[in-house]
Amino acid sequence: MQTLRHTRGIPGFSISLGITMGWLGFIFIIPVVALVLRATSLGSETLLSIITRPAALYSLKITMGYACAAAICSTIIGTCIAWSFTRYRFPFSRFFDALIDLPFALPGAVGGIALASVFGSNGWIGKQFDAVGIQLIYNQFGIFIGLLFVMLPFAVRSVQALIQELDEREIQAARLLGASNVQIFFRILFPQLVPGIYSGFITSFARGIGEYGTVIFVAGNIPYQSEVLSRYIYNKIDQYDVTGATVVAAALLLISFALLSLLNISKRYVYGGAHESYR
Amino acid sequence: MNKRKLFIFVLYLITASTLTTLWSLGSSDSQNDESEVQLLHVSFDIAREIGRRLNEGFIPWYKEQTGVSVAIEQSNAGSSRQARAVSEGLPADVVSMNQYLDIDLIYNETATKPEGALIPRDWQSLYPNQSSPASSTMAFVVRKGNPKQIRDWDDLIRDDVAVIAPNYRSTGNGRYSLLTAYSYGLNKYGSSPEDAYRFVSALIDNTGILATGGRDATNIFVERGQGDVLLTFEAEVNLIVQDLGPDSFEVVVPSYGVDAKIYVVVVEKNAKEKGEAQYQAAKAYWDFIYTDQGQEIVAQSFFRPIQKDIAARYQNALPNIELFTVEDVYGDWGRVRDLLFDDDGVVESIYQELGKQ
Repeated sequence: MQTLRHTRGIPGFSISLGITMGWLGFIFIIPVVALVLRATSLGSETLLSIITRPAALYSLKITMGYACAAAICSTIIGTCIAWSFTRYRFPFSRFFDALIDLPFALPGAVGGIALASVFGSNGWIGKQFDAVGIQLIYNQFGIFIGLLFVMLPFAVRSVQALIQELDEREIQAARLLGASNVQIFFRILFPQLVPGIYSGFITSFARGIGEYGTVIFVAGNIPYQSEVLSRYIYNKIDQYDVTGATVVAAALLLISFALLSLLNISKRYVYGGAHESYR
Repeated sequence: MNKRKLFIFVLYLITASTLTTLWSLGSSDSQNDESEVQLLHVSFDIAREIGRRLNEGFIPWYKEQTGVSVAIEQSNAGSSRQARAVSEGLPADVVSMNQYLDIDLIYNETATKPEGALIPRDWQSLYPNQSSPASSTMAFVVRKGNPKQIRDWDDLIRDDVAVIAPNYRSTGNGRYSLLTAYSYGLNKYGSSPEDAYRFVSALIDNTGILATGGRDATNIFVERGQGDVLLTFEAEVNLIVQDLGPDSFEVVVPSYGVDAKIYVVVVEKNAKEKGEAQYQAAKAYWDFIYTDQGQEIVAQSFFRPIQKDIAARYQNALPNIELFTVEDVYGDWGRVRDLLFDDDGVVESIYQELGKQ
């Protein structure tokens, strides 16, 4: 027994596991289980009727749809941004690099107000579009813009570390062997970045599903048009319908958990022979 | 900077900020000790200003009467959410809400608890006029010069008018607007529910942005420049024009409106737990709003006082219009909720229809 323990190498297993489980249980598992229990204490028929209300289904649809679309978009743009920050030095690049993290720290309302004041029809970008009859926010496109804002750091940071680790010698070797720029990118660089891009997508998507603070300032919040699911849940509570809110919240929780598990499991297949630590 | 130094630096920052926070918490406590009694007034979103003015009147008044100095803190947000916060433990001493349902919720949610209800069941009998010292009604703010010529409820359903309002189902403010529109439809088109439904449906179709509360709606209309007309409480309408720009906005009071009663209650259980002095001060707070001075403050804050002679002196800002009460037209708020705001109600069904188009 004694020798077995020694072979584990790193000490402190029991204490760190104890802290982990205690903390997870206290801050996360107990509240979540309580929520699910509270929801499932109603009969299955009531549950189903609450979840399948057309307004709830519609909100679920646009929430998932826009979270997915915005996550794809953020991931592509985020990869470009990470690339330019890591591979090139330009004036104030450090400053811009630090700027990326702002949406992590800002309260949602700050982002929302900032976006609304620029993209609203009297904001300086919104005004140009308003002149040709296009409304940028207070509709579904507003949801999309809000999500892009909050997702940006997730998409950038998850791929940045991999870009830093790219080996210059591989590129030079490929070039010596006569590979074109396009070939170098798709055959050598891109495969190494896939794990970061994919996990950037997953975290962005997850962030988008639960987003409330920023998006409500730039969506019109109209039912069957631009009401995201988190807003729907808040409304339920303000309509004296705590039961409804609890059930929808639990459903959202389960759906998110299932989706994220699926995405995490699929990592293994997506990553293939790529970077060890991401597997 | 090496890693170890960085680590120590971060540790230092965390410790420093924690200590500062603790210190400021401690110092604010000692500052509060100067007054003998601390009250927390929990109220709805647009009642910030009237609350502040009431405090300014009440504190010297109570000091003169009893020699006790009082400090009052206030918390304002959407009324239904505030009511829920109180019932779930926010230690309010005095509460005012713009809807009967919201105060009733505080009783209903806590009545079955072993430690007893926060407020008595008969809370409406504790102060004059069913515990309602003031009221408001729904009015419009339009842009200066009234470019769209919006005068009455009919104009809100014209095709060329864009309306901004707080959420019609989840805020007291929005519910009152929708209820007034529905009642206007009933009243104007000979009490046919179908006509009222069509009227409300057209209004909802014209409302392109639903704000999360009264103040959010104001912000969207004023700061973001959205919409042609803002639909909110008369008290808020006058504040906007007075404070945010008599040069940019105009008040329109329509011909017909709801008598939106403001209800008040002392959260007896909370106040009594903090001591007799606390409880007496809390009770006196609402006594004060019924005095001439209190009613005057109500009118100056653009709410409608219940004292007729004081109301008469503020005719210019608060004109006489045809008012209906929820009780006269619908019986009680519960019925209104079933008819209009429930999941099977009129509003949901309209949104479903509009969503399919």
